[in-house]
Amino acid sequence: MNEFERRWKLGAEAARRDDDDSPGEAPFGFAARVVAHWQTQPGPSLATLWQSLVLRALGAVTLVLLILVTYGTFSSSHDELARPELESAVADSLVLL
Amino acid sequence: MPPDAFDVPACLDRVRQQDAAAARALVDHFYPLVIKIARSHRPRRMAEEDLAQEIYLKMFTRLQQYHGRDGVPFEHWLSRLAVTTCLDALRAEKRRPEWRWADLGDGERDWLEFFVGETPAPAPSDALGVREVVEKLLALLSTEDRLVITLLDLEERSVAEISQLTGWGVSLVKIRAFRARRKLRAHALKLQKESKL
Repeated sequence: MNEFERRWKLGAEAARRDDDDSPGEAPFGFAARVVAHWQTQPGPSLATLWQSLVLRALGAVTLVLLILVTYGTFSSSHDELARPELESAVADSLVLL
Repeated sequence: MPPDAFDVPACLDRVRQQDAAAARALVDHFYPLVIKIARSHRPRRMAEEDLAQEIYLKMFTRLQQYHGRDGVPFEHWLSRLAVTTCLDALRAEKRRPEWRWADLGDGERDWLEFFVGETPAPAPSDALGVREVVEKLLALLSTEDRLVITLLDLEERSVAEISQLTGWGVSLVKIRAFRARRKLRAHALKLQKESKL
């Protein structure tokens, strides 16, 4: 601990002693006011719900895209191993389907 | 109802069913806890009761997210909610004050000189001055730095407790406190230099 920290601790201790008024009960009517505010608060609007849904969907789509891009990047090195005749066969079978 | 007999889980169940009387009882019961946090971490321009009200409104809105079965006592959950609400309120305070040497009273100046002094000297005796100058120095820090110093040095909470309240890791709390004290010293030195101009 350096000299500043030592002195700061002394100051903090003195400040604590000065601030020793422990909080008591809530002022009269405080709880009633808070509860009244809570009960008059509107529930989440449709727009808010929609917004949170869209944000979650966006997050999920981003994650899927990232996985696909990562997969594509790592699997592209194997492209030269793919045989053209096999690719043609797969394409033909897809056309037939 | 005596404080020891207050049944928190039962009260919470009633509040979840929109019972206004139970909600008022909950507010009254936890008032000392909430107001203490609001008082210590409120923005300068915000009344502590307004901040306490904001904390309670958030508590009611998010009550469905609290599950006692997780083993987290309601007091801990509420304390954390109160601290994060205070942090948000402090962050929303657009401008931080810029104190000058001329803004300080005699008692505050004595303490500031004491903080940055290096030669042996007794601590000043002005109790009011120290509270004022500590608050002024803390107000110069960033929201997070101010929070960590208030919790650690003024409220004497343990690092583990601060970690739990803020969600920061133990190492982060220690590093933040170390850096915050360094910044405090820099601010105090800057203020002191003004006295010599």
